[in-house]
Amino acid sequence: MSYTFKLKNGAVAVFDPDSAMLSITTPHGDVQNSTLGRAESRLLDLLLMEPGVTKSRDEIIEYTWNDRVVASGSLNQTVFSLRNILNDSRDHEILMTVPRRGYCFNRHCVVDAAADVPALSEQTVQPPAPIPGQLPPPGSDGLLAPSGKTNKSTRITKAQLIAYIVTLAVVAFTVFQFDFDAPGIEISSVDKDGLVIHAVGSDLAEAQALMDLSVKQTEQLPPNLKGQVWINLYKANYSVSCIRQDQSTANLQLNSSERDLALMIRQCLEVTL
Amino acid sequence: MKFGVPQAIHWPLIGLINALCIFSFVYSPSHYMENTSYQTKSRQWLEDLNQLNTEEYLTIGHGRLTGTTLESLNGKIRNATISANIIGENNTHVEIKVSNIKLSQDNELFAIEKTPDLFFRRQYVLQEGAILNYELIPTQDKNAVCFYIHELGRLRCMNH
Repeated sequence: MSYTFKLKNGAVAVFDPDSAMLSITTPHGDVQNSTLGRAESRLLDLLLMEPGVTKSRDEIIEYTWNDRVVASGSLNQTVFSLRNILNDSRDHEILMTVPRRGYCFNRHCVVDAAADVPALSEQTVQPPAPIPGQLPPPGSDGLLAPSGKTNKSTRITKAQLIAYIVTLAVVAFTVFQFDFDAPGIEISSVDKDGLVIHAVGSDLAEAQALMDLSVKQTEQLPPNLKGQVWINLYKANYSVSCIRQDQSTANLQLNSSERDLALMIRQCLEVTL
Repeated sequence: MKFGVPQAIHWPLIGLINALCIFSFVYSPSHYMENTSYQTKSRQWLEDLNQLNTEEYLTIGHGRLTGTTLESLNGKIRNATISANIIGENNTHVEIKVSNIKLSQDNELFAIEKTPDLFFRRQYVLQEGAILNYELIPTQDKNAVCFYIHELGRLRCMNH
């Protein structure tokens, strides 16, 4: 859950209490990310939970330093530090002091998450300076103050933008690796009772034509001939490669298109080279 | 810049895309086994009816391809070793660039005037920097690899 609120001079801040990340976008679109200290982050988180609601010093100390005991001066120092970060050190219009009661976050500075943040940033926003005395009492805040919690931010940080660019490069490299411009071949296959013949061609028509020729010529082959055979015709030269039943391989090549393919297949599968 | 997804989604999305890319690198099923020496025997009938017999060995791995051929013709023997770098690869293609050639003798065993086409094709392969594209053909046998070399029009099946 993150909070979006307006700063002076039209800047807009997004605070993520989980990561303590404060992202400030200037009216010019520049984004400044900074990680708050633990105390500043806890204090801002507490006040933003209920903007406009005054939190007592004890309440703040208990929440902000829940793991240790601190002096009262630590709170003053943390408020001072946070105001500097929010550019609120002079007017105290954002992180307001409620005399003798505590502190509250100006609920008018909180931006509804549904609103378009860039559009808001174009405005010159000067949050009204409410009079602390006119702030609604804690008991009635639920009725008057809109919730300061925003919906999940859809803004992308610089780090994420860089990560997306790097990821895009990784994806492009991956696609290139697996789809480089390589020539292809087509294979037409037929299984004749354990004798599997594959015709290899540069396109499907060529492979099919070679397959038709092979099937016609291999009709007289003995039925007990088994194995896998690949046939290719390249510039009037027949190539026959085979994997025999004993898993050995052989390759025959003929510099003539007049050769008997059936004889070549039989030699490839049976003859010791 | 504004994306239409919630802030919390960005990092898991980036992580997921990168993880898929890394996975595809690590797990890329191939039709050959890396660093396995494949071998085969070949016979080529030349136009002068001589038989050129060869024993061939091939190893692919660590971005390198090494092929050795021992050929014999009419009692004469010659061997050649070609080393190449793999410059492109996916599960069906291997593109190599020849980086080193070692020949036991420069002269071909066959009569080049009678088989000029074979001679010219070999001249292309036997020079550093030559690019060759191997198209791996799926087989039903895990111990064998079959491929087609486009630049040579050569079909081969090898086993280990």
